[in-house]
Amino acid sequence: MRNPRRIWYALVAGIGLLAVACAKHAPQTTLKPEGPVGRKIDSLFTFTFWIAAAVFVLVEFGVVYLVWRYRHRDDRPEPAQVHGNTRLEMTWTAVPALLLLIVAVPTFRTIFELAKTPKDPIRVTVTGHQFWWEYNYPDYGVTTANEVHFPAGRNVEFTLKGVDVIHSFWIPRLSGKHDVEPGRVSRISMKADKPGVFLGQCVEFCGLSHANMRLRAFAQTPADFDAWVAAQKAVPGQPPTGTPAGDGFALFSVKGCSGCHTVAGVSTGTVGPNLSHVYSRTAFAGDTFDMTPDNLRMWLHDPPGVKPGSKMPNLGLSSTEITNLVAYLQTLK
Amino acid sequence: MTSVDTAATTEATPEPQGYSAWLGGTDHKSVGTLCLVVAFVFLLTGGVLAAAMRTQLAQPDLAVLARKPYLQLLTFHGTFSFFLFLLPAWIGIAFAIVPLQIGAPRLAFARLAAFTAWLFVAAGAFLILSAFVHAGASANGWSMDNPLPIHGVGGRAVDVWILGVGLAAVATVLGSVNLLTTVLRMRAPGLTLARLPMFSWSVFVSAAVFLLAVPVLLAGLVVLYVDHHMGAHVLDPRRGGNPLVWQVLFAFFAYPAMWATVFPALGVVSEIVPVSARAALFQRKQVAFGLAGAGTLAFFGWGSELAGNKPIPQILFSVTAILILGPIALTMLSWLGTIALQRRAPRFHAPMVQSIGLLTCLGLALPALAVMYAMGQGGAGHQSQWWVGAWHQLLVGVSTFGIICALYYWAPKLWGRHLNAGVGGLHLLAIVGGVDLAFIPLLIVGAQGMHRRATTYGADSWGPANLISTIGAYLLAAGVALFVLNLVVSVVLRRGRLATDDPWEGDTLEWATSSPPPLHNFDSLPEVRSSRPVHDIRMAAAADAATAGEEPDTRELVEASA
Repeated sequence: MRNPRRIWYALVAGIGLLAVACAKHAPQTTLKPEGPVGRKIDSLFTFTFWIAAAVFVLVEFGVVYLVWRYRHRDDRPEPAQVHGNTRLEMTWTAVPALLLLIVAVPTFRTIFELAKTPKDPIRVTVTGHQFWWEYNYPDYGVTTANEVHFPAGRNVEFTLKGVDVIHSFWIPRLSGKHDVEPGRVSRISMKADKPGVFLGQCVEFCGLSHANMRLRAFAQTPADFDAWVAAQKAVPGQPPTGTPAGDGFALFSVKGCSGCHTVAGVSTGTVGPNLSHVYSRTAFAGDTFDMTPDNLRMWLHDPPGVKPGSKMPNLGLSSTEITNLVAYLQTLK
Repeated sequence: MTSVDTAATTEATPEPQGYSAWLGGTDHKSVGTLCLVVAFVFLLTGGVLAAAMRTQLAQPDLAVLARKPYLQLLTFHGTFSFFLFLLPAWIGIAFAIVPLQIGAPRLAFARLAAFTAWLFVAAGAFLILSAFVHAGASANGWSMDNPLPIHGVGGRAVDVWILGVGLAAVATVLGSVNLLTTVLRMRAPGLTLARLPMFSWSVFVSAAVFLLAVPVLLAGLVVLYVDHHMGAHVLDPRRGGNPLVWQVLFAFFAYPAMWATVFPALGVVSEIVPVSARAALFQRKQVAFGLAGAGTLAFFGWGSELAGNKPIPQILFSVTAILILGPIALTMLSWLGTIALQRRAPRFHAPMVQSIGLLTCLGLALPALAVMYAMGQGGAGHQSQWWVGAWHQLLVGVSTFGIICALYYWAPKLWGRHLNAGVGGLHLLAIVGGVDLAFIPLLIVGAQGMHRRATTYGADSWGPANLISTIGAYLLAAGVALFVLNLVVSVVLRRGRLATDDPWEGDTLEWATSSPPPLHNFDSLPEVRSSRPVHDIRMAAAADAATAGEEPDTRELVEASA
């Protein structure tokens, strides 16, 4: 029989795959959690994974052993007809039942633990849009998009709301995921051990640019977080007329940008992301493009072209208009 | 021994022969074959689409397929593979085999069976048509995520998609009613439900699951059609609707229906292993009750993503989704026990070799699913590539592999030709290797945070595993193509080895008639006194012939016993 050798090849391939899994850094991996909630989920994963791996190895070796042990030889007579074996039957039934029970109990515990409301959290309301995230801090009066900031070492409670399609909010290294559903408000909480930047992603298929609905979480020291809040609350100044930024400021209203976007003190649109401090972010358009003047030019030239399905239309802007608008956006720090 | 004369109860109306039997015939064997033809056309189509999608995901930031065409292929891959491959393939095999296994001359509703097969043909035509409607094919996944217009593609193509899937769903309901009635009403005298062959029993369980689950999909499709075509806004949150309505209806259908494509595969292997080991199935009663239990549990685990924040529903969904793995594992262990208990070499004929391949895939899929459901909705499994990997291990490595096992086992009976065993070994290696290489890396990138239904990805750490997965997908596609080629050359072109009536020394009634069977299936039926009637005859005859020193073939024995 070829089978035993085949299994060996499969095992070697499996070990190779594990090497692949461990070799590179993975910014979104759940296997290196950076907070207590992530660790809870990771320890549940580790526990069930090793049980499952043991079952996998035992079953595969059982198959190989039986196939080898009773490999075909000629001239075997019809075997004696054995009808049942009570002890073996009971073992065969009890072992899977017991294993499933062992796996199910920590699942029970973890689900209850994760359902608890955290103490004294920073509260953030998350609204899922196609294809970007809106964050409101009701306690601070701050609204921002795609990049969420909170102090490390403190609980954060996200309240999830949907307005268009169903999305799902996931920052793998900090917590589990939860669907963002129109018509139902849900909550998810997490905590980061220490300051750092964590990537996240929409994980419920939401349309053409689902793959580009990313997010970034900044866990900061309390002082940095307070400074960030203060900066976000500031009303941006108006650029002087006659400069490119000043022309861009005028275009912002003329071209209708203000109808969809809020800039504090200028406009109150709520269709697109709040732009009051857009240039303080590191990326834009669902955390897809790095925040550089060149990328902003590319974006304004044809938003649905670079991000299919984007609700921002191609405004048919001229090259000069784009330059001026980018200059204005750069003042919104 | 006595036997029952079935010829008298068979209708005397002449049936069309040959290819014309497909067009107007109601013989369950040619109707089943027609279902299988539809299934294999869409297996190959779905496989090509999958290979194209895996090419786009082979490396980060590739531009092989733009987002919209990628998502259209994704939609058709899922729709074809489930509604037009797994469903018609299993219903086709069940139509062809169940009456033979239970000693019946036909299905309970012969014309309804023919209608079912043609409904599948019509469903395929509608779905192919939907790819060419002016607004472009739908791009919402096989679960038709909604509200459709907000998702980006909402033209008439979606209406046609809904109609196509609706036809396949109606076909599945009618096929299930037919099979349930056949098993309940058409069994040969002496063939009690307790003596029912395991494949027929697994078909019975699956048909019951389909009968309860698929009408819910039909209800959902009506809501979707009214919402999308007539603008009812039942599902559009911008107009006061709620997309969860569709999501819940679809999940309540999809989860049990996916499991119901697994049960017949377990049934097939539960036939092949005992015949190969020349023994009764170890723990037969437990396996039978286990399958029924799994069919029941399949109605509970569907909502693990939909439970919201409340812990109790989360636990109910997660724990039942774990518990269903118990009876499946029990079935797997009973196969090993059947071999181990005999302490003799099983006969490694082609169906048995394929079954061992299925067994290795099942041993991979069950732990992967267990980890996923144990993690609950918040864990890395749900909605990530882990989900894709684990379910494909089950639906490809077990449901699809089971169809291959079934055809190696029953092609000699149905069409009188063996599939080529050497080619079988080759595609077995390709398929087992393909399932491992294509789907194990998806578990890894899933745990590393790669989401499902990604059209592309930027993080460079996912590159190597995705490349391995793509290579595995090509290997898998090559293996499946080789199997279909083997089937075409051996059966359609009639190059396969000629089959005897009972090539595997089988236990169940289908081996007591000629290969291929006559239109009315049986000239005479042996008396059924156990779950292994043909084995009983063979044993009795062997005892008689022990002194004469000569072994007659099975059909002569059946006729002699008449």
